[in-house]
Amino acid sequence: MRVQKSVRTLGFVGLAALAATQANAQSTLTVAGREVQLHGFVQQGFVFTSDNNFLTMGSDNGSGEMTDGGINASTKFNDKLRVGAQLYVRNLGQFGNGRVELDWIFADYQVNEKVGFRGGKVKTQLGLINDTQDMEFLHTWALLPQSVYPLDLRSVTIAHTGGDVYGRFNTKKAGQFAYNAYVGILPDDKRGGYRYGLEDRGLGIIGDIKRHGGGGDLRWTAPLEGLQVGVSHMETRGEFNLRSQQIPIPLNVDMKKWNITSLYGDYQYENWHFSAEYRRTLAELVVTPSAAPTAPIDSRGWFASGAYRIAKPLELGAYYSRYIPDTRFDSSLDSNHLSGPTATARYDFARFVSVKAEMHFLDGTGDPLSPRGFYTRNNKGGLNDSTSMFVLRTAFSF
Amino acid sequence: MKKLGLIVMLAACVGATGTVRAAEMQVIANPSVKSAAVSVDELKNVFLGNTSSLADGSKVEPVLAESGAAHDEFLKDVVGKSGPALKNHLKTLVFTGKGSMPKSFASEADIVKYVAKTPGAIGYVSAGAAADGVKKMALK
Repeated sequence: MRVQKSVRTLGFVGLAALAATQANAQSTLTVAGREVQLHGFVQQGFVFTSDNNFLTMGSDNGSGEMTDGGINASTKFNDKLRVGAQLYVRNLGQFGNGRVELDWIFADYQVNEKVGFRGGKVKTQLGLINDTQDMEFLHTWALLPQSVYPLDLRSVTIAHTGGDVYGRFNTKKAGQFAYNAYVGILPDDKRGGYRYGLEDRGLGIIGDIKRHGGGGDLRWTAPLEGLQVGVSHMETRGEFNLRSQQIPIPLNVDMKKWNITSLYGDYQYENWHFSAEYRRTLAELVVTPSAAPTAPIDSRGWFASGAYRIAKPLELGAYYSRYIPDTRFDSSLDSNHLSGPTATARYDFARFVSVKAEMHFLDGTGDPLSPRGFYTRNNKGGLNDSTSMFVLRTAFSF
Repeated sequence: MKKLGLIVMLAACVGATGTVRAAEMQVIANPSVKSAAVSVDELKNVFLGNTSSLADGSKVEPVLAESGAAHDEFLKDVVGKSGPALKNHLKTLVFTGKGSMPKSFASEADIVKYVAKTPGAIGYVSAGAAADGVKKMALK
């Protein structure tokens, strides 16, 4: 069954690639006299872990249940108006299940460099690379630092259905400032890690998670070539209903606050590339009926990375990532931290194909309520306090 | 005197290097583009997908070379990114829906041909390349 899902996922992306080969070398088609750009990608991963199973895969025996891909089409109506859409599919262990979803679809009207508007389902700009967190081929790493960009919780921040205003201002001496602000409804991923993590605790969500909110991002491109720093903030709220094995009536969870603040920096100099990001998540959930009010959950995650391209096709890099699910509790507990170093080699074959080999040395397990890959259901013998993990990942993009 | 000679020689070398760099790449545009000159910052913003017009209001469409000495110089002196970094930047725009992939050509003749026939097109070739039907733009 799982193999079927992977084959279905690959089949979808294979069709996308076939469509591209029917287009010319620039991946463009002409439809009703209008040029339409077509682009797509497919990624396939293999994960082997020393102990704990990772991301709902049977990774302690080695697993290739890590397939995803997408295809998009976009066209310009005139100099200011552009429209486009992207379909996305993933089969990641028990997440995604090979179901094709609309990743983004929007109209973009750019009045001028200083101001533009987007409306529809838009990828959310939050932190350094939130909007491309599921496209590892754009990054050095086979797995992005899970402290900040967890694959399980992709849908929590990946996109919103609503509107954006964006633009940039150039100054003569102080560099360039780019801004983005948005409001909208956030998606509910029924095949994602948030629900799966709750089920790990014997809780099940009834119906949909309703969440809405807004946020903004301000990034400064410094006069020093290659340096960019920024800050993002997102405020959301919503609600959902839970069933518990211990309580006979449904529980209502009022998400009074689910806010994320991110500080980040990126520096590229010749063949060097350094990045760092710090993210704080504050969540205030009021459960009804409840015995006592709860204090906000305060999660922190950060990473620092460095990479060097030693030859045109070969890049080597490393990062350190640390995540604390809830700072109210002792972060030395295995269930209240996940941290460790990662080392990566990336090789780019021609223009379209990349292969990455990556080693992770993880300490701790994180918490299923704010998951970072480890669940008790997939680790029936119990979670070990450390995990060594090898990830091999290849991508094709056009 | 010997020291002065050395300084003159060094200055000549620096000058010669500068001349060679400037001579490797030539910005070209379709004759519909109004300006005769373009600044490095304007050009950079156009090729990074930040804007689709020049300071004079001309609408422009960037055209990339796939490789070559002029391309290398353009990356280093104008865009300020390596080839893979520029490719990733453009793919980021494409896969988030926030921009389009510029046209790119393997040969300078194809770049010149496309720029000559496409209103607003702006690209770069080697300084010595034949540039029939296009406008040569000075770099401010």
